[in-house]
Amino acid sequence: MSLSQEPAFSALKNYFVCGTKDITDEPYAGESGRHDNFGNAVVTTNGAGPHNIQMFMLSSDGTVLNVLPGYWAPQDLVYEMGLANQLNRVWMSNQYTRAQKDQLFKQMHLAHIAQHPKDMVRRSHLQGFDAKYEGENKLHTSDFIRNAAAIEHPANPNQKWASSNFKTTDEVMHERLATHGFERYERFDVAAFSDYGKQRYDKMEDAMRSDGHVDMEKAATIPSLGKKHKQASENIDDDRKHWGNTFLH
Amino acid sequence: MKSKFALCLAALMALFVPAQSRQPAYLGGQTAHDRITAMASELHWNQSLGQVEQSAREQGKMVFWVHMLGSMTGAT
Repeated sequence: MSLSQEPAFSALKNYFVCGTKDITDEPYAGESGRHDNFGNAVVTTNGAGPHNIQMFMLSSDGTVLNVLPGYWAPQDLVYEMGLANQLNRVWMSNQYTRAQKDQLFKQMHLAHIAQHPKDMVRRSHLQGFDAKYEGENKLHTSDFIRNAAAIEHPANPNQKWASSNFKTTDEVMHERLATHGFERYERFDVAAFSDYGKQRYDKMEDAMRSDGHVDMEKAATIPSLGKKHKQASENIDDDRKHWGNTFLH
Repeated sequence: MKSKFALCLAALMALFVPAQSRQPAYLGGQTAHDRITAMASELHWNQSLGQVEQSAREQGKMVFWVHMLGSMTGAT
């Protein structure tokens, strides 16, 4: 996900008014390595780090149109902005009843899954550690599991955590939203929506060398950020309370 | 609004997506910092949802509201 990269940056400037909330104290917030504002950045998959960032697209009255958990590639983010715009037209329209609007909300979210470009789907596979977490802890309850039998009794042990055994993040996020209708942001259950994978997400970007390898000794010295680490962060006298330089900006 | 948005969206994608596909998987700290600075100079990130909604109504826009660990200004 990158808000400063095109085409996301232009779309944000042209079609949205932007705001942000620090969720460090929220019960659903995860943990991350702490990064200063000259930290390195790496590209990751769509939906990585769902506990650490959630991006809401709202109508101007605060009604939820679309939500993305974790990071998203800029072109995929803009694609989802297009759906938000379509849903905003439905929500603002006088030609539908409230029940019809809610039905359209579900239908349009589910239909959008099939419209996603192949490249977008490829960018949306679960991180390996998140797939393993879902498989080990929620094999028969997680909505990310596409083939529980293949995980439980793999023909090839090396394929136990294969991405084909799991749904992609671009699919599940729309499926989860389709269980909702139009609803106020204040009523939206963020914890349930962003509940997948490990609580901690950190690519150790600031310890990464230009060749992409991580200096593990340096990584061990980088403090963490998140609810468990709030006190430690407050004791550091600067304004560098940031996390995961994963092309957010 | 719908057709205008769709046209602009298509234009944005056509203009920028090919370049995106060539982007590196790694960005050095100075480059990341420069991007942050450029974005912050052009996009204001309000921390009051009420104010954001009011501005969106006045400008006929939608709201983009980001939950994140830490702060938007400076880095992520």
